[in-house]
Order: sequence, then C-alpha cells, then structure tokens
Amino acid sequence: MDNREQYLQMFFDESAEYLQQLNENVLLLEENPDDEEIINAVFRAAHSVKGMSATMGYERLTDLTHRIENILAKVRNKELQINEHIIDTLFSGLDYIKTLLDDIRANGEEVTDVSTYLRKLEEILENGGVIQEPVGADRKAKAGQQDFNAMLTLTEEEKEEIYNKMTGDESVYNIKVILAQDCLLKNVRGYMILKKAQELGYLAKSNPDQREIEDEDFGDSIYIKLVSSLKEKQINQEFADIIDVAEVIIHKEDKQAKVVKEIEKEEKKIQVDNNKKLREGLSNIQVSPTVRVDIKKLDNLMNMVGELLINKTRLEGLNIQSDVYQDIIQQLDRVTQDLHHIVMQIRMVPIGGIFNRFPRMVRDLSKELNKEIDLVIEGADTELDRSLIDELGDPLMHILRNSIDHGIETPEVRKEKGKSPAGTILLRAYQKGSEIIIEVEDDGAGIDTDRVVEKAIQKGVITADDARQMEERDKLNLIFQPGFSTSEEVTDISGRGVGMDVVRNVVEALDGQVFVESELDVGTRFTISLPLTLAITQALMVVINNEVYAIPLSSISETLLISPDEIMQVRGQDVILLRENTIPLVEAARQLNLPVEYGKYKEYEEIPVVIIKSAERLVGLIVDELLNQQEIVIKSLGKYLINIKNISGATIVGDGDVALILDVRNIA
Amino acid sequence: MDYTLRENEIMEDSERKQVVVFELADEEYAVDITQSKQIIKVSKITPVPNTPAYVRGVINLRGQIVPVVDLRKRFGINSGTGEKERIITIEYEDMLIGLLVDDIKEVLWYDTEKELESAPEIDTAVRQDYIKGVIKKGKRLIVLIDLEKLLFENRPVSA
Amino acid sequence: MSKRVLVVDDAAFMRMMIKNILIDGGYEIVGEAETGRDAIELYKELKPDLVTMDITMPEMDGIDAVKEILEFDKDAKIIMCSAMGQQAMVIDAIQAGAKDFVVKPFKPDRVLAAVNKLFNE
Repeated sequence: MDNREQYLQMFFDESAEYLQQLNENVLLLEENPDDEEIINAVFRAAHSVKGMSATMGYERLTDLTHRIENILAKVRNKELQINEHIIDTLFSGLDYIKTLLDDIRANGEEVTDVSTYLRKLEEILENGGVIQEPVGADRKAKAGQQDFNAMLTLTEEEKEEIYNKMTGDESVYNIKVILAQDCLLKNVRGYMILKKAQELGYLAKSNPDQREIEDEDFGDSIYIKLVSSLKEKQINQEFADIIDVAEVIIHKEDKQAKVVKEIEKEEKKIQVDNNKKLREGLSNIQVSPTVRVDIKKLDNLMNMVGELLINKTRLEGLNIQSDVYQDIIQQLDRVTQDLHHIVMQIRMVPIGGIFNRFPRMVRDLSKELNKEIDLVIEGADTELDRSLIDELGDPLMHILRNSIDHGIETPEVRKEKGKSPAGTILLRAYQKGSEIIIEVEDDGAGIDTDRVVEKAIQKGVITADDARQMEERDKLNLIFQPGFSTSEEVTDISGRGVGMDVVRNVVEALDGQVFVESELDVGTRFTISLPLTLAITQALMVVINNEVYAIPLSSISETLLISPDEIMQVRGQDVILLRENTIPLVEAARQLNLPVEYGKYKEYEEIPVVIIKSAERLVGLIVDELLNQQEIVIKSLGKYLINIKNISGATIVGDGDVALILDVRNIA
Repeated sequence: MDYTLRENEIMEDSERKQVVVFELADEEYAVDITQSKQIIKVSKITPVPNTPAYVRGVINLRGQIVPVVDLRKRFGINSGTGEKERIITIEYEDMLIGLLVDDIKEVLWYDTEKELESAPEIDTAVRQDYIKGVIKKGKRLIVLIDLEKLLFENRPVSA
Repeated sequence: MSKRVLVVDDAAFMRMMIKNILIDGGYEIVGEAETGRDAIELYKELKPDLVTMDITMPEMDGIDAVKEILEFDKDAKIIMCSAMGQQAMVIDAIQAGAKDFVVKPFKPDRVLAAVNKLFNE
C-alpha cells in the first residue's frame, strides 16, 4: 500500500468515527443546548475533521467544517443561542460531510456542490440563527418510525420465536420509551421497563438488550418490540405510569402478527439476493479478524482486574498455614497476573497510529512557509496504552507546528548560519523503564529566552521584576504558562490560540511530564514522558510517621538497612557510600513536611533507606519501616486535590485503608 | 399522564427548600440538601502531606478516594473533636468531597422567602463571604454555607 | 385514612429524612427498623401498607428482607432506598418483587411520586 492510500484509509476511518461522534453530540446538544462539554465535543470533532481534510487537500470539507466550527465557537462564546434551526442546519451539514466523504471514496474527489449550504451557514453566523422554523411534530413521528426499523431489526431466530409465541389475536408493537433526563439509576429503571414489557406480552426484542441495560450502556431511550393482545392505549399508559418515563412513542405494526412470518419470508428472500450481490462486490476486500471494542468496556475490565487484585492481596493477608491455601494463593496469583497482562496487552497500540498522520502535515506546512523540512520518524512501533494514544495526537501536533513555524529557519537563513538548507525534525518514541518517552527535536533556531521573557512580560504572565530573578531554565519554561500563546490568528494551520499550556495540561493529566531544552541556533527538543501503563503498578510499601505509603518500584533502585555509623557528612549533608557512590540521604518525613521531629533516625539501630532514582541521580530516602512489595491500583486524589507536592495519587490497601503514592521524581 | 401534574405541584412548592443542619463549635450551620449525598461515620482518614491544615486527608468511599475538609479548621474554629463527628459528602462538578463536622442535627425545611435572611452582621466565626444567608427558625439561627465559595474560591494547592 | 408505612434503614439520619418527607406527604409512620431482621418481625406485627427498605444493613440486608417479607405476604408493597452505585442490588430487589426504588439523597417530590403511584393503581 503506498502512502497516499494509507493516509486515505486512515482519513476515512477517522472521519467516520468523528462523524459518528458529531451525530451523537449534536443530538445531545438539541436536548442540552447550554452544555459546554457537548458544545466543546462538537467543536473538537469538527475541528479534527477540518484539520484532516485540510491536510488531505479537500477544500469543500475544510470549508464546511470550518464554518460549523465557527458556529460552535459563537455558541461557546454565548454570541449565538442554539435553536431548532441551527440544529437542523448542523444535521444537514453532517449529511453533507458524509456525502462528500462518499464522493471521495467513489470518485477520488469532492463532487457534490455545497455552496448553497455554505451560504446557509453564513446566514446563521450573521443573523445569529434567528430564523425559527416551526417545530414539527411530524418530523418527530417520522423519525420515530425510521428509528424503529433501524433499532429493532429481527434475526431469523427471533422472527421464528415470535411466530411460535403467537396464538392469533396479538399485534406487534414498536415502542420507544424515553427516560427523563434527570432519571437516576437508569439501568434499574430500564430493567423495570423490560419487566413491565414482559408482564404485558411477549418481549420479542429490545434495544438496548437486557445486559446492556444492566450495564447502563445506553442513552435515554429503550426500543421495544412487543407482541401483545392488549390495546395500544393501554400499553402506552402502562409504560407512561412508570416513574422517570418522560415519553412513550408507540406504533402498531400494520400487519397482524400471524401473517408477519409469511411476509417476512418474502423479505428475507429479497434480502438474501441483495446480500449475495453485496458479497460479490466486496469479495476482494480483506477482512482482518479483529473486534472493535468500546474503550470504556476495556476500562471496566481493567477496573475489575483491579478489584480482583485488591481482593487477592486481602486473601494473602490472611496468611493461613495450609498447603491447600498456599496452593490456591499461588494459582490465583498466576491467573490474576496473566489476566492483568492480557488486559494491558489488549489496550496497547503502536504509536505509529498517530505518527503516521504527521508526514503529510509537515510537507504541506513547510511548503506553505517556503521551508525545507525532513521529518524523521523513529520508534513508530513503540506501544502504549490506547487511552494515551487518543489524547496525544493534539499535543504532538502542536509541538510539531511550533517546530515548523518557529523552529526551522528558511533555507536562506540556514545557509547564512552555515547549516544545510533543509532542516530536520526528529520524532522519536521509545520505552525507558516503565516510561514511554516521546521526543520532538529540531535543528532550527532554538528558543530565544530574552524574547520569551519580553513576550511574557508584555502578556502579563510575569513582571519585569520576576524576570530578573529567573534562571535560564525557568525562562524557557514560560512557554508552558497559560496566556503565553504564540498565535492569535485563526488560520487553517495554527488553530485557535491553543498554546503550549494546553500541551502541558494534557500531558500532566495523563500522569506524564513535558520538558523543553533549547540552544540558540542549534535547535530545540521537547520531551514528553508518560507512564507505560495506567492504573496498576508494582510498589514497595513503607511506613512514614505511622502511615503507609507506596513507592512505585519503577523509581526504586534498591533498599538498604544501614547503621548510623555508616552515615557521613559532606558539606553539612548526610550521605552514605554505596559501591563507591556518594549518595545523599533525605528524610521522607521532612520532604513531606510532616509535623515530627527531624533527624531522629540517627538514634535507630538500623535505618531503613530506599534508594530512589530522582532526576537522573540516586537519593537515599529514609523511611521508618520497609513493608512488603505488592501490586497497587493507582487512584487519583480527585480534582479537588491537584498538584500536591511529592504525592502522585493513592491506592487502597488490603484492609480498605488509603495509602498515598509517593512521587519521588522531585525529591531532593 | 400524571407526570406533568406532579411537576406543577413542585413549582408551587418552590419556595420551600431542605437543608442538612450540622453543628460546629455549638453553632448551627446548614448546607443545601441537593448538594449533599450522604452522611458517613468517621473511619480512618489518611492525612495528605503538603496540603493546607484544613484538608484533613482522604478516605476510601467504596473504592473512590474522597478528600475530607475539616470545616472547623477551614473556619479557624477551635473545638474539640467528639464521638459525634460525621462526614457529609457533597458533590460538586463531578467532585465528591467530604466535610467533617462536629455533629449532624437534622434535616429541615425552610421557606426561602420568609425564613431566609441575607447574611446580617451576626456574630459568627465564619467569614461573611462564605455565608449564603441565615435561616431563622424561631430563636434558632442557622448559618447557610456557600459551598462553592468555601471550597473552590481558594483551592488547596501544595505549600 | 392515611396509609401506614414502615421505615427501614440502619442510619437514624436517613430514617428521619424519609419520615419527614412521608409525613409531609400525608402518610403515617407506624414503625422503624434498623436491620433486615427487625424489619421482617415488625412487618408481621404491624402489617403496614408500605415499606421503605434500605439495602445495606447489618443483620440481613434489604434484599433478603424483601424476599422474606414477600414470602409472608405476596402483596407487600416495598420501595427500595438506594445509593448511587447499588444498581445491581436494586435490580435484584426488583426481581425479587420490590415495587420501585428511590435514590439517596432523597428528593421529596421523587419519593412521594414513587409512593403515591403505588396506591393509585
């Protein structure tokens, strides 16, 4: 497969996903016109489609999505109020996107004329969408009927089953039960609705099905195909009487139930013929044996494994003296470890999936800016957790744009500096211990810290006074400050004032870190480090001031018990000598600002020390007691307690207590 | 369908609101019941270093880590801790937060028009900004707390 | 005559809340129980028109209590009081024959809507 084809395939796949998201979210928007999260979701999805379309050079799609994005931007800024007209227009816009995509698939180019529709979008932007079209009850009803056909398609077995249940005077009802928006415990309510259906007749099919309902894996509506001898009105009433049911839409199928089978037999025959044609048409398309799974289900699975681990640990804590017990524990240990491993594996995908989007972007962008840039990609097969992949695309895109825009010089300037006319951007991923490192390195102009400072002062990020006291490194880091955005123009390339602060936020939300290093006229390197896997890690449990803390094994090099005689002093700092390395000692209690007397460890006979790897050097962390090593499930401290120094999260230990997880990266 | 009928009844009743009343150093305070999720007995609270003193720590609430804010310390009140200490969990923008109080008194209806007064110059340990109003029930004065301001105006950050 | 209710919850606070709501709604509270075990005994003794039943309680949880009460009186009207996150247990209770459920923290209109509905049928 050549490159263009590969891009196209990805473009189709991703556009389809975004289109799906757009459809769902616009639908939600209709119901919650003020929900910022939904507005942003639509905005983002439109933005993504725009970006991809522009990269692929599809102008109509770019135009269309750009305007949709503009509308959402206005809504977000409260300049525009969502109304039915806007929703309708958005929906037909989504249809146009689909049509254009189909065009490209079929003909390799956009065919459909969208200029009339674009004017319609402009009108909304100008008039604030005041044109109110009548709310069509018709539309709703019609949509309902279409819904039913799509939502309640029966398999042959199900049709058979219905036929067998018939005695003669029943009718087939298609019912849509819509739950109130503030419905609590939706799954229980849904279960009650199914139970009610079973009381009223034969429940032929429901969408969502019972399992999906119990897992709360559905929206606000439940579709039901019910065979019942009761009257339509009566059935309607029975469902409407259930609490939290906002609306019941019910359609009686025209045909009497007992003739259904005959008619459907005919339909089936036609369908078979069609399928045959379809299959023939598709025969050269390879179907890979994979299953697409909602990432949420994998998250659930992960949580279950977490629960299992906690209980396994509790079981181990019982410490019963019995061979059978030991045997079971060992088996359980093996099974849970394998299970964990498998779940993690399922979630891992190669980072190439996002890297592959960039060559085209770099090429187009450099052309536009009259620069010559070689993009070198290394480690595209490095795997990381799927949920990280999803979040990383945008930050990487921003860093790359930065390098192209501000890093690499024009060929003329480069020649003057004695560099080769073509600049190089290196995009590299690799695994280092339990971290994934992603680097974006360019051989461009470097970041001029004086200019950064100047701009930061001008933007009010810092004062001139602040600047005088700053070290070079801190000056560089100003680019990550909120409000220090590089571009304010709205263009196809650089987006809407999304700056490096967003990059940092995204990375930190993923429990990662981002650094920048730069040298004038030599180049700039951005480094993102991320945890290899989420959620579960091996940790050493220690006691500090009567509380249990977990230290991730990934940051520990070894543990020691030392005697006070081994402690030496170097420039007033306690150190120990370990295999000819001088290692500074720091007291955990002091690092954590715990309200205890420091230095007491010197009175101990044996001092427990955890040698940790902190910022590329070794540090001896003095704790009160070393406990065991175990797997922990990492939990967040929540959004209320954020950026707590030296604490990265919490975990629940066997007895149900909370143990905090030490973040030793910045210790000493 | 009688659903709409019920909605109307609620409309008529809208000037009545329910609060959870609790005690801090012998004064009565209240939070809106719609914001409170549950009342739990105090079990082990794990202290979190490098947080302000009023962050008492975190607890495990059915697998979720929930921060606990000591309201006495938040208000700068010095009062003894007693056996009746309780944690009220409240939900705000997806965050679950526990409030540690001396004692839970009751759940109470009040009339938003007749029984609620804007924070007057009453003598209370709490800063005026954190008060939404005062509920007057006969001789009782119950301070209605503005949770949003109290919890989120100065988010705890690392010292 | 107002309907007679048995309130079951191990937390006095929760009982108080639901009592206030029901009394305001015109119901009569005839008894309170703190455990599933007590609830069954009191049900047999008082034969209330309605039971509000908590799920997690010491000495027999709400679901087992529902089953036993229904065994004694198959027409018993029981409403489950659930916290968020107890979905699976509520489903069990409904399957066992509980009529409906309300979610903590209690909202008066919701509680009364659920209760009133049982007596309108």
